[in-house]
Amino acid sequence: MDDSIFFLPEILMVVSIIGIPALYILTENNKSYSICSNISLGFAFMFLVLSWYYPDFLSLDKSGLVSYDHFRVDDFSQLFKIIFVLTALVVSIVSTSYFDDEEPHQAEYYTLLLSSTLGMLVVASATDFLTLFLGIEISAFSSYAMVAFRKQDDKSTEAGAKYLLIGAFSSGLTLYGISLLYAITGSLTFDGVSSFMHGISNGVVVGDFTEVIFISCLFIMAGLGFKIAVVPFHAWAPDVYQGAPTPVTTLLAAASKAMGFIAVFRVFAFTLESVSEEWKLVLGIIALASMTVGNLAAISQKDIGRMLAYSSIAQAGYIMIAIPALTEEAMSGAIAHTLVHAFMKGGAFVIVGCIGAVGLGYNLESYKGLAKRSPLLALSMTVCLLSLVGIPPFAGFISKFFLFYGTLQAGLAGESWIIALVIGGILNSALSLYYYLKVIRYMYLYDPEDSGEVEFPNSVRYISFGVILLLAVFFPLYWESLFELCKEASIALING
Amino acid sequence: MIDPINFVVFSSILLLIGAYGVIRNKNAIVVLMSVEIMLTAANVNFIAFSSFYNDLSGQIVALFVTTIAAAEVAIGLAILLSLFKQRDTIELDLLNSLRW
Repeated sequence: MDDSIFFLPEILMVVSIIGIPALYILTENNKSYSICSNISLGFAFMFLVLSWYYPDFLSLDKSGLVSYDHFRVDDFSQLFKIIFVLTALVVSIVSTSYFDDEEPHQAEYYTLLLSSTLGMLVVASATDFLTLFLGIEISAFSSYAMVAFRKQDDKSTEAGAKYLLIGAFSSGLTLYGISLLYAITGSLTFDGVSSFMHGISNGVVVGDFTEVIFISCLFIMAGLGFKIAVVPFHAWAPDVYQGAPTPVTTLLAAASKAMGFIAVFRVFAFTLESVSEEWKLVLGIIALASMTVGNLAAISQKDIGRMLAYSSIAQAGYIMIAIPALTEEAMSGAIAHTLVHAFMKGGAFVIVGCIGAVGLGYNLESYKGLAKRSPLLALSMTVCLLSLVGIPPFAGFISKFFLFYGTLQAGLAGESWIIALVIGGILNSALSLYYYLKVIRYMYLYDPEDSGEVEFPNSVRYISFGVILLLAVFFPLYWESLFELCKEASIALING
Repeated sequence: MIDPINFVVFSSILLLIGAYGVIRNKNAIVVLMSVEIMLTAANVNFIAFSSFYNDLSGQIVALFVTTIAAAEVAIGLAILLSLFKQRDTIELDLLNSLRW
């Protein structure tokens, strides 16, 4: 069969981006938009899983790599596409219970959700800087509008304005960095830039480009650093995570972050891999700073959205330590932790959104006695939070173990200062236990402040149950297959 | 043939003007305009080196970036408009209800 069948998820997204506005003209029914987006995301998810991991089922012949000039389908891209589509599906399902039927502009909301997903899918497959930049911008523009979606809500609009201005500034910086790289290499593809960089280190290319490469890396790092929210480019994240409607926060924290990491991996672990020598120290300091600052700032937070935002800055720091190490093991650990982070953060924010939507509020205090109100949601929140700390046997422990172990191996084999990053990561994990346990203590050891009955929507119950299954049962039991998947992905990433 | 270093100097001056505008200005519209200047700086590089290398891809990027800049302004103005409707101001210093 033709290779273009692998574009089906992107095509499905485009069709429903056109389809939902058409539905808006045909019917005024708010339910129909969410059904349309659920169906197309569900099909895209099933297709991605079946076409790549069970190709016999659809009688496709999969060669392991489908490559066009600017677009490539490989183990790395498909693994992340599955995560993006799954997160968008969860967000789309949760949004139905978060927004009531009276909420205006729902057609726009689901259209933006799908176009944001489309941008992420493009980023996952991008093999040149133009495609990468376009994908990031498609996704980012849609999420600016989604963050500011509630026009009557003061905080939502303010968060949207902040996110827009900072995001626009950061994309300007990235683009200038890319233009400098183009100026010295004359190429925009990752392969072209990478072979030029190898040419410099082999002495094939004559000339001294050290300063230009340094400056352009600085710009690209600053721009992508905003997307993944690492220190010192993190200031927007808590404000936006707190102000945005919580389903949108779920998308930003789970999928948008992973998209930023894909861009960082593709650029720093593949394209600029041979010049990363000078960069290793800078990236290591960024990693150490973001985990420390994130964890310290999270301790004093009263709002759960802000607390989780700072925790996600810290998690970005953990993932970053693999890039100085730059071995196959370390990169596969980083990929595993990015994937599992999407599940744990997504699961936590789904519950935060649900608690907020039923009227209990977004403060830590509102989690008092949640175990009595709903044992399932409390258990799911506990699993997500313990997984974020990295307590065995949950999924977060396994991925963090891969990550730290792979990086440690690289540190023992090569530069010894990388070991300090791993030690910093482990100490920070212990530090982070404090603020995660505070939430768990509120949920289990206190009584609810008012004894009123609260009805939780069914969709959130099912999703929480699924999150518990994944994080506490499925990943711990089948950690070897998770490891295999991430290993294949990192081989596809590093060998290009 | 003009030495390409002139283009790089020109574009970096443009970038600095844009970045200065983003950091110093209190008015959100002016900040958006400054971001446009930064994108233009990158475009200058792309077009100059596209003709230097005789490679079309730089010019294609410049076209795409122009489109992106237009979309950015459209979304930006929409968000700032709804901000203005709520607060009667778009002074960035007053965006402080979300803090710590």
